[in-house]
Amino acid sequence: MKILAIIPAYNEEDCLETTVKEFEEVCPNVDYLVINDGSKDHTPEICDELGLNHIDMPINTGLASGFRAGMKYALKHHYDAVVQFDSDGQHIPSYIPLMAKKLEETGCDIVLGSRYLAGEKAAGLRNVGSRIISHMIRMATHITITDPTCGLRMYGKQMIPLFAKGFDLEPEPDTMALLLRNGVTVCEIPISIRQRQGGTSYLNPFRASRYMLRTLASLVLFVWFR
Amino acid sequence: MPIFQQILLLAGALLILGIVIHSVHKKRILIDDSLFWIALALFLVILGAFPQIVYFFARVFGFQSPANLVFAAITALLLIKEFRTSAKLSLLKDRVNQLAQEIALRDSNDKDSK
Repeated sequence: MKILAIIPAYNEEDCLETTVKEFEEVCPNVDYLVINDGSKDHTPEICDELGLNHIDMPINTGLASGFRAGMKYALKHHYDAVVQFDSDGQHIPSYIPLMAKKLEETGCDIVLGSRYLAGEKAAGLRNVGSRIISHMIRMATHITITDPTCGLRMYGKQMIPLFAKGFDLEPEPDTMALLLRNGVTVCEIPISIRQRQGGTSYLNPFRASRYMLRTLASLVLFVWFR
Repeated sequence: MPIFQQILLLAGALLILGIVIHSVHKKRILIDDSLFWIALALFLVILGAFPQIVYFFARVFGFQSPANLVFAAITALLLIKEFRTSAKLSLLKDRVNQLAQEIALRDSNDKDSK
């Protein structure tokens, strides 16, 4: 199975090198593509100097658009599966072969990582949001996704053209619900996640509430009609 | 507020909601950009359901008629929205120009290296 890891990077000079080096060591058989999303720090120079496989977006277009560029690359180069991988070191690469195995064994379209299946206890505001989203997805689809906001997701071959060409399909929980309603199958594997290894989080309180608002509006109103 | 006006307000809100959902369905608007209109529809529903809110604020700000407050508030809201749309459009123009410049430069690089 030919797998591509999409690693979106926006101003990640602090941790990109470590993340990709670890990735190459642990998963030598998995290709990766760093999407430099118009970073204003030294991310593009790091990509060039280390000879990382990367593309440079001329302007900052956001995570969803960067991911979509990666999906277009995967489509062009005939990959069988794509995994979403954070550049900040939160994701542990050794789970990727496990996810690929699960994808092949179960024939699912999407494999999601779940921190809660691994026994992590929910706490804090972020987890309250995650629980609400999980509940809304269950109402819309009758399917339980235990950890909808976890960013480590693997997409099978059928999903690649969908994300490469689709309108407003962000790699986010509401899209998962929409796909589930359209007959796409999803399964989960237990994973754990590290603290980010450097740089600053994209999510400040304002962005977090906007994210929550968007996801809920999408789940309450649009999943039913899209 | 007469019951007829209340019904009109609610009907307006439902119409907005219908148009927004239809547009999202038809892939004419991003969910991100639809949030404002969803919020506006909810705001109108609240005003239609609880007109006491309008009466209260009309008294506080000294409006002669509650309807005037509704007009003023919605005009102000739409002006702000219009300005923000203009500002967003400016940014979009700049970004399109930047992209055109980048593509032109990349094309010339390709020619140079041939």
